[in-house]
Amino acid sequence: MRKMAFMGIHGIDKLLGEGLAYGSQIMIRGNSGIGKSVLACQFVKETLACRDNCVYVCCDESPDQTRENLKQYGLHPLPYEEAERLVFVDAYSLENTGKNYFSSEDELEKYLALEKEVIKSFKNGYNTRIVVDSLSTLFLGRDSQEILEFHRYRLKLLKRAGIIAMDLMVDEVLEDGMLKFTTNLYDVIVRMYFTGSPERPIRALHIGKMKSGKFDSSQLLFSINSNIGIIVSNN
Amino acid sequence: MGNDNISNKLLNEIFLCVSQLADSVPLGGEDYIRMVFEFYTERVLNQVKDNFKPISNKAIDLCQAFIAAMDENGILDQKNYKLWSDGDSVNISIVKSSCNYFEYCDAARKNNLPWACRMNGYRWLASKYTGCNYQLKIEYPENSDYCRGTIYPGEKLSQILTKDGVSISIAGERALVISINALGLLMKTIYNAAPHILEHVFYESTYYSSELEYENVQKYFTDTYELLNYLLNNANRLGNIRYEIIKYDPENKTATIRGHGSYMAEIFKKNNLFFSPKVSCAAARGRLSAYFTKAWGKEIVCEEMKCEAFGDEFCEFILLPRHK
Repeated sequence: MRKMAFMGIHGIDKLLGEGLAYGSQIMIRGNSGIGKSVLACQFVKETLACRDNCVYVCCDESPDQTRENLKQYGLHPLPYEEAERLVFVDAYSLENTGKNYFSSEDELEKYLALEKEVIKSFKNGYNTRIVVDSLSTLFLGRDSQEILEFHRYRLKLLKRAGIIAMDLMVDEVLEDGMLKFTTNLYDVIVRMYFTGSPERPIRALHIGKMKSGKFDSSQLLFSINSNIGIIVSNN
Repeated sequence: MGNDNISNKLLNEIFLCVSQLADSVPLGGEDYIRMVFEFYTERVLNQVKDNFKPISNKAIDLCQAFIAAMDENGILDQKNYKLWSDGDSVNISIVKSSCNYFEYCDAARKNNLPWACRMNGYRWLASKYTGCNYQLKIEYPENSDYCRGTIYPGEKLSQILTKDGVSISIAGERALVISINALGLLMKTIYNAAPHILEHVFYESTYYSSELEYENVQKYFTDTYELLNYLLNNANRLGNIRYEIIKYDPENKTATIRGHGSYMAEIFKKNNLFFSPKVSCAAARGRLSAYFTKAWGKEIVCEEMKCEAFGDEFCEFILLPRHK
């Protein structure tokens, strides 16, 4: 039986039916502070628990801060880094921090080369998943044409290599037109947003799209527990 | 082969069978073999009681008088025994080749079976006549002609399963035996109601109960490694998992532990509690984190790198400090 992947969040995984085929691309989009990075942490935990390799591209926080975030949700990254199953790419720091460093001043083409090299560095034969937190930050201040070309080419490469990509997008950062176009390139879109009143905002999400499969687009309410992460309500 | 040799061979084989039995019954272990030596010593004492004339109620005098009485009755040759005291403790050295149980001890240890030294008889004797509890520590140097034991005052740590009326107890605490199916159904019920908490329920409940367990037995040990070994072996006796310490580095506060026959891996596989296969021994992680956090006085976390639920040969746990 072909191995399928899940996100590690029960309420969402239930909606994924048989799961995600390797090579699937997931976009997690939503407002700032809604919990995209929390979802990414749970995804990393699931990835490593299922014995896949993981690349975490840190654009919004430093790798050290991301390590701390992972610890908060019950995953100590060090043994996985030592076992060469988890690699952080630093696309956050202003100064070069080592071999997996990407500067915001570099061309996106250079990012592609780095991503490819990191993925190739896994020698254990396990499947690989990649999280970019957040891809929209990587696109900041860049030309639309460059972004479109990069994006299309990158996702094609990842699909061909059977790598599951989870790209986080902050709604406020990308222009609407760009967001619409990029949305089209993904297999699964999870949209996270605040609902309720401004005084009492409630977190909600829905699966906005799931290519080649039935999906339930109904709204799911969720909360964030400081140890567990995202908890989707039963109703 | 003379009759003495045959008897000796039989004696050692019978003791090996006792060790095998102690290993194969729930909560079996060294305690049962110690009890065999206690009963045996009591019987021998009854046989030699006319010659048993201790000059005082001190542990050393009791042991010396018992050895002398056995010598007079032709049970042993006291020249193979050397005793000296160190405060309230008694050191006993025995010529290995003169010990009737030598083959048994050697084979039991090589086969990783629970075993106990016959010097437990002297421990029992000292406890009985001084009215205070004595413990025994054995040294078994491979390259020496002698075995050495030290009997010292100390509380007895019982691992024995006892039954009193309707209740059974483990080491004095009421316990219950639950089948893996019953526990599996309990887990499935939790999973159906609140899947996100299942891992946390097992991790945290085991963490807190293991902390208590550590605190309860801590006073019986002076050596942290021995204490951890005792606790890990206890988990095996309880039928949870058999732990094996692969790497132990108290200086850097890291360890690698393997687990064999994990009950959680079995439950997860049996009850389909996954969307996809994954490492699943949250209870073992909780237990190990608690023990090592207590042992090293620093928050220690545990990651499961391999798991039988995944089809791995064993589960493998890495312990390391949460913070640098």
